[in-house]
Amino acid sequence: MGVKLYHFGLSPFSRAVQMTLTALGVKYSIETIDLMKGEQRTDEYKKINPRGKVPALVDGKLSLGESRAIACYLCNKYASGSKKTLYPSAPELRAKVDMLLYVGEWIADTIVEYLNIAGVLFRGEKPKDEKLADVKSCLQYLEDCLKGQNYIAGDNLTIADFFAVCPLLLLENVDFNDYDPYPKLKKWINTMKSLKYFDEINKEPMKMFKAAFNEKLNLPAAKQTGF
Amino acid sequence: MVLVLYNDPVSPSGRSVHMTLRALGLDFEWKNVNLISSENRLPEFLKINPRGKVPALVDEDLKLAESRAIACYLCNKYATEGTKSLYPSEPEKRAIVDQMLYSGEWMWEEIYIGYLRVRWVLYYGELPWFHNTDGVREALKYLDDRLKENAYMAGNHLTIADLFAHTTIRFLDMLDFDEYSNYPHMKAWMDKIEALDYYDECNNGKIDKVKEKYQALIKERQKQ
Ligand SMILES: N[C@@H](CCC(=O)N[C@@H](CS)C(=O)NCC(=O)O)C(=O)O
Ligand SMILES: N[C@@H](CCC(=O)N[C@@H](CS)C(=O)NCC(=O)O)C(=O)O
Ligand SMILES: N[C@@H](CCC(=O)N[C@@H](CS)C(=O)NCC(=O)O)C(=O)O
Repeated sequence: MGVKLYHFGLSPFSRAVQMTLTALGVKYSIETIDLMKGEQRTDEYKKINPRGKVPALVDGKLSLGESRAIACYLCNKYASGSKKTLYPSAPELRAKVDMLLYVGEWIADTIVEYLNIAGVLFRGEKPKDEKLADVKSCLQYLEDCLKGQNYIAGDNLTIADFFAVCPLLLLENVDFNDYDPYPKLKKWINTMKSLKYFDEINKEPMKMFKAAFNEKLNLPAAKQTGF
Repeated sequence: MVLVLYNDPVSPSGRSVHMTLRALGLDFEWKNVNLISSENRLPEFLKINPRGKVPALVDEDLKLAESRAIACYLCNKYATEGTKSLYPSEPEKRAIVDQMLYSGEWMWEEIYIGYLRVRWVLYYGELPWFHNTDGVREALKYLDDRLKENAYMAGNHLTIADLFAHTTIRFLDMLDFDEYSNYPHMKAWMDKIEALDYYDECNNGKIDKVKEKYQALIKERQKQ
């Protein structure tokens, strides 16, 4: 029993759920679903998430897919005391978090499209430079959100920050570093990276992914490859 | 207090918000944002939603975009004893509604970006991806499977997840996609949604003008 996360470290959404669990202090076990081996397509896993995507969560009788819905559930169910600000319950504050969670889909899609992840990994293609302008509109959007507040959905850290930073940092795979036009965003990224649980959840998977991605791009040899 | 909804009636997610307002019995002011004439790119509107998308909602100081977030807000703020089941507050029940709202984004991608491609047909001289129906059928089957066990998407009663999934699916009318009956559980559910007393007001005839233009452009391009 207890909370069980069906997880794949290389998925930024899966890591955002892990950050939520850790921030809440919820104890959980992990079952790895290795996407490289196609484990998401087994009948057994499809019983848990019929869409065959990671992450998924099982808690008692509840089987849940969709990373953001999972994070909202965890907060609704387990947040107490000072943890409640991760997903505030005042309708106006919560609305901003929900809005940013949905906007986060646009940001994640845009970055994944620019990096052309599937193309690079499986078809010998390159990132799509013509999509860089779209990435920059995402960065500008976040920069504007951060005007007058420390986190993207308000004055406090919320789950929307987790779901924005994990996909955003995919940009490190191509060493994107042009944050000068976005000073508030740059500062926020540093704040997120200095959360005490950030590294233990993100560092290794990000390094592994970057090595694999860059190996495919034929850039200077990667030290280690995970797959 | 006046709620103001910025919307173009052709927008499926905008119509879902409209139905949510009606289901909650709320009064609001409608401000039309005509997408065909790019009113969503006007500076006044960009002040409400910098992304230039409809629908958007203003409630006093709050400016909100993203249709599903708007619907959740309306329920969180204004639901009464009689309407709170639209977005239940028990964590387990709410989780299923949220899951269906988020997977609705995937269905929308399959139907809109993967198949109908309305924006690309209207503005960029393209054709729909007529043959790319696998994703569409996968989405319909996913719904049908869910509705085998439950009368509604998140259980035995109507929730906002139904109001969103319905307008997405029905948008297939743009291409007169008529395979709904191949998914009997889904079809039965569609009939229930279409019998809601506010359904017609929010949906009937709302896509007709854009549909006519879209289909005319397609015919013209197919002749060439
Ligand atoms: N694309 C592969 C692997 C999935 C994967 O690696 N996840 C992608 C996005 S869905 C990723 O961006 N991982 C990057 C990271 O972990 O930093 C698959 O679907 O089989
Ligand atoms: N909207 C879903 C997306 C999940 C998703 O796309 N997961 C990817 C990994 S990043 C996956 O499981 N890909 C496996 C596949 O498509 O076969 C969520 O937020 O949970
Ligand atoms: N995720 C957004 C999507 C909204 C959206 O794409 N709206 C379309 C109409 S359905 C729009 O405003 N398109 C205008 C444009 O992109 O310029 C939501 O659910 O509100």
